Amino acid sequence: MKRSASADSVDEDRRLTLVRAALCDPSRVTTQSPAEWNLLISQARRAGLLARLGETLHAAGLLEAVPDVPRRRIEAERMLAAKHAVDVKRELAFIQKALARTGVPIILLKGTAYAIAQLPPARGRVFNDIDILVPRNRIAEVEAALRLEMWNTTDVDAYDDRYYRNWMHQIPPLTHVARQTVLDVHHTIVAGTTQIELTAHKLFEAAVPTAHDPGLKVLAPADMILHSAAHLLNEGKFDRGLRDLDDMSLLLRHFGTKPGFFEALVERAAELDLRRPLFYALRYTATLLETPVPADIRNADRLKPPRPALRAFMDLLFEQALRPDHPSCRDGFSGIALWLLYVRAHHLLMPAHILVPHLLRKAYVRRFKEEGRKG
Amino acid sequence: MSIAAILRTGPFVTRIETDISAITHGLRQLYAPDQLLMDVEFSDFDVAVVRPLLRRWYRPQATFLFDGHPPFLPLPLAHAVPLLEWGLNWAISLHAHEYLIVHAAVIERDGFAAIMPGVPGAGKSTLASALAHRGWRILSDELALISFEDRRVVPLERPINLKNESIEVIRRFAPDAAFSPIFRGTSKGDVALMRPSAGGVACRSQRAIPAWIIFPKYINGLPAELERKRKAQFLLTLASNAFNFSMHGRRGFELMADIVDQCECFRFSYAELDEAVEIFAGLRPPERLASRQ
Amino acid sequence: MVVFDDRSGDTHGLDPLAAQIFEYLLDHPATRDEITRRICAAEGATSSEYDTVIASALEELRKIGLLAPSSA
Repeated sequence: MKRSASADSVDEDRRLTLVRAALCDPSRVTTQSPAEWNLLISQARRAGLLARLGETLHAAGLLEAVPDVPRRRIEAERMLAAKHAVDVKRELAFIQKALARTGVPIILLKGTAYAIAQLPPARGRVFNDIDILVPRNRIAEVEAALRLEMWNTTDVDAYDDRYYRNWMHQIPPLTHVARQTVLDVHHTIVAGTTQIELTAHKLFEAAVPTAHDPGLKVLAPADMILHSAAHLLNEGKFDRGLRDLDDMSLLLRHFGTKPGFFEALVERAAELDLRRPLFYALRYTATLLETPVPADIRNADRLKPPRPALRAFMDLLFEQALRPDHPSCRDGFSGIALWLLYVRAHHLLMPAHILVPHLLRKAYVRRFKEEGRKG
Repeated sequence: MSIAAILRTGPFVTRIETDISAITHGLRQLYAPDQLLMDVEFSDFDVAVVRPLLRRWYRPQATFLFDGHPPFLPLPLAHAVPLLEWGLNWAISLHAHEYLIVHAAVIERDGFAAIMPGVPGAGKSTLASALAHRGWRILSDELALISFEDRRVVPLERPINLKNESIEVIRRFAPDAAFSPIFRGTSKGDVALMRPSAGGVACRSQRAIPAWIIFPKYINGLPAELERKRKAQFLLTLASNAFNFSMHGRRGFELMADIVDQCECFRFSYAELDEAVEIFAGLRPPERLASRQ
Repeated sequence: MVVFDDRSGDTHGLDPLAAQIFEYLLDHPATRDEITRRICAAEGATSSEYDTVIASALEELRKIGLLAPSSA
């Protein structure tokens, strides 16, 4: 046994951009070495993008030409994604049944929305939770109705429970006792008490019924993109960062063909006070995923772009954070970058005097919970 | 200093990175030379068994990584080799959806397979290991991979996991068998890995036609008994023992139903391995299958 | 009998009586009385003997989602 093919045999630049490059230009993979293939599969799987890569290759008519081993890994993942798509519809039927009597309007969010509205990001998506949005003043009613049908909060201690209810934009995740499916019930699309306020009723006003079931609505196209942007760029969690960025890229490509869409998008961002997240979303989908965003929109004054120094610093941080969560994509700076973005997200979320005790508490709980599990 | 090996087992190629000498030693001991490759290969899975950065000296540990990420908590360093084996099983059962994967031992003779579903404590590994030294070839002690394409079982070409008393029982039953050292005090008790008897590459990788489904049960003190049973129960039990049954939905159900249809289904209770060997020696594949071959 | 429900993805094992009822209902939607009469005729028994057994078989089928009452 000697040192064999490893991440080292693929040069650094290529290593960091393998997944992105494959998504932007699938034909690149036809000339890849085994070492590059192995790394691509491993990174893509970690990033939750393996099935999406498969769909991209399939759409480009290139899947047949992929070598046997990577191809069977891709096909297995596509099967999983297909199963998830079926599961989402099934689970949604149960949720609708549970909430029918309350008459509460429901808006589907994120992956659930893409699946039901049959939008491009539904392709090759591996789902975990179902995400729905309900009016804040009906949350208690919704939670009660769900608990009646055997949904329950699990694994959340009293502090985290309060954290969710007071600061976050959702109640703690609900797990169905029998089916073990997870449901996230949101009541707004950025967190509770923040620098950035959002009026949920505007989202409900603009919501669009789906063809699948007129009773199920999704956010209007601009709101869908803004939600995705706010979620990705303000929440400090990047384990699915590249996937979420690709979702946005697909949405922009899909809706962007309509004349006036980008202008309306910018206006809506101003209206909902989500200028900065949109600025970064347009910037990074364009620079990292070659999304065709008009230059005048990217540089629009209306978005109140950050100062060049801050922008450059954010570029560094986000380029790090939006890499696949894989050892081959990490360098000495990665840990700090992620930490800074995490703190930034919480700073945006909570006033400073609450932030530090909270971060301390999170670290304390995590460490001791882990010790407890080991024992 | 970590090194990487490429391991070819059954239908999978796995890249294994490690900085633990027991792992490199274990790989050489438990796998055939032609299963360990030198050069760059396309790999299905990218795993590592390494020592975590912290806890290097006090109660050293080994951790299993898949795509650079640990799916489970670390184990004591002394259990590195069983950790690798359990990790490989985990990787297959969670990702190899190109097959219907059933928790079962599978043995083969003359191209026909007996699938023995894995009720815990039923002694399927012990039974399979014994039969592997009396005229049968073992395809797996843990995971039955059933192909959607040709409805055959695909061999895993991996060592067999034996626990506690079974280790000594099989050592006495098959004195020539090659064993790893015994790993004491794991979460499953004392564990040893047995290398399957050397067969040629071609024979080792042969797929097998399912002909028998047998639920084994170790019952001390009674003579061995093979009892034919109604098939409906077997289909249900097999379905509940399949890792990815619900993933495949209807397609999985139909494959499973076809397999149960074509097989003879038995409950088997035994106490003495010699008796078991004799009864298994008397098994004949169903007429329809035998003529088809 | 083993049944795979495409809609729910669940697999069910039905005992002989439930299997008989299920198979019959697949082709002919019927009322509870009609089913009871039919089964009793086949078994050569009186309805009072089989009433509870059939009732619980129907309830079981309903619980696992293979049976739905119709207002027709």
